[in-house]
Amino acid sequence: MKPEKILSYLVPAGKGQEEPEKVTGTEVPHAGSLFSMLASVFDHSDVECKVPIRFITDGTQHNPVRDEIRELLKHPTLAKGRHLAERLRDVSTGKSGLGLFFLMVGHEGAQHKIVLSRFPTDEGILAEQNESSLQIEFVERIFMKSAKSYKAATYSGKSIDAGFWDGLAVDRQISAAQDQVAHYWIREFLISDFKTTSKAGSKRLAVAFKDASKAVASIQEKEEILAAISITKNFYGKTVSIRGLSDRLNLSVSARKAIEDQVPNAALLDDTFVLDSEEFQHHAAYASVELDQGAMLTAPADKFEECFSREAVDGKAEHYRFTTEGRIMDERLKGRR
Amino acid sequence: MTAGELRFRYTARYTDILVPLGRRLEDYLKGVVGDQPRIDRISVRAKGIDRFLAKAAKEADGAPKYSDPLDQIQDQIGARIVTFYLSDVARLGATIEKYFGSVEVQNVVPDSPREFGYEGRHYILFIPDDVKDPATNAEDCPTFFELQIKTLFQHAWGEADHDLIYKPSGVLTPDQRRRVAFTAAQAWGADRMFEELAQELTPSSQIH
Repeated sequence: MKPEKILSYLVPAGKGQEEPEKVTGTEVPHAGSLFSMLASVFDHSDVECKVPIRFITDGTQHNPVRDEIRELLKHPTLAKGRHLAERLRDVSTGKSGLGLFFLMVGHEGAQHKIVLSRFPTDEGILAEQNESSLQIEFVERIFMKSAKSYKAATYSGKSIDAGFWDGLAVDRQISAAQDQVAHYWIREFLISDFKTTSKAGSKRLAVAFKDASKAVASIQEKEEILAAISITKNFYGKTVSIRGLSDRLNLSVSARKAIEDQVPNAALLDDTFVLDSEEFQHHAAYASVELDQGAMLTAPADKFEECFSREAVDGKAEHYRFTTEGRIMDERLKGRR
Repeated sequence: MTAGELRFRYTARYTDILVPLGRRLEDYLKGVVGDQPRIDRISVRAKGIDRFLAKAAKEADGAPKYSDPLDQIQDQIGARIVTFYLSDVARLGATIEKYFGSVEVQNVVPDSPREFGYEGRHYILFIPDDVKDPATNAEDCPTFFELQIKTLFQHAWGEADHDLIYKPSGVLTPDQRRRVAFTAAQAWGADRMFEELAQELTPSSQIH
């Protein structure tokens, strides 16, 4: 589907400035290479934007950005779109720099759809070749979609008044850095948050790890998943998704599949949230290893590898020697349940 | 959309989507707050077909209140947590807000301090994707559900009030209205007394 209206604005950084620069805008004509490129962005936004987000409110079903978006869907004019462009300017710092901001409005079937997209500025070299020579020229303002800080958000829905509460975003900087990066685009500009709260996402992840460790049959896979639970502590407070974390932990195909099988909905694998240490540890609190001679070794899941060192016993398949040391705090006799 | 078409579409949604969704949401809610102290019950139900249609037919200022009731009515799934004391309502509310995205939070109280009536803490919350059936068309699944958190006395008064007062039989007499307000005042007072007793008799570590 092609957008029915594309509005474009040059957005300078204006955060904290008493008299920020003016935002200038123009409508993109429905023809030519630029329109084709932006139509492709509009068409593929559902694939490219993978992070579910939701508008946050003051408790009274009101969000000023959602209001602007709904207004723009009803009346897609340069003047209406300028409100959003000025809002983006007012949260953009010098670090964000100059940006080219596009608002693309259209339909997909019976659904209204809008895509907000910010192309960052860069420097480059223009090379033009004719029959006998090559001309090169330095260009100060190039706006590139492929740059690492490209950002977009898309919203769609049948009812403009009742819908448009949640959408999808892409922020190429999220994977590179911390939650702070999402702050600019998702929290400050869109007045939104990840659709999944930190607690809910962390619980989902911990339960998937825990259930996967029970579901796999081989000792190696159990060991790999328990090791993954332990290493996950390095991501506390950071923005993660289950699929992204599996990538970063370099999990084997079988361990990854075992974890993904525990998630009720495949779309949740890319769902992004901030990993909460307390919640994760609450649901994946202890790791335990049971040996065939009756011994059971238990330690906090995120410290198991620190508490016990494990070495293979020569000549005996799947036999391990565990060693540990420490001061005895308690000794108990436990009955069978 | 005619009333007949709306009934047909909501009946299909009710059976195919809302009832199973409500069951999964109830399990999810129990997973979130089920281990908290002093919870009497956690329940989730899909809005009945006749009650949905009655709400959809409501008018405001002489015009239909809802132009697209299937999208606009946000309590097609209703959840309720009933707990013991007033401080438990606040504590559970804080926990719920950590696990669910909300668009509306409301402490429902009578309009005037001279009145007694319905009270409770109401939320409009996003239905978590964890409980949505991926095979269901997203357009057919509501975005939100309503959660009410109430004390036992608020719940008891609300149930009896709904059973006796919201009848098509007619308008209450002044004496009947006065007696309804009296029961609400007693429920309000009982909540205050039990809250004070809980603060005095329960170790602080067990209250929160």
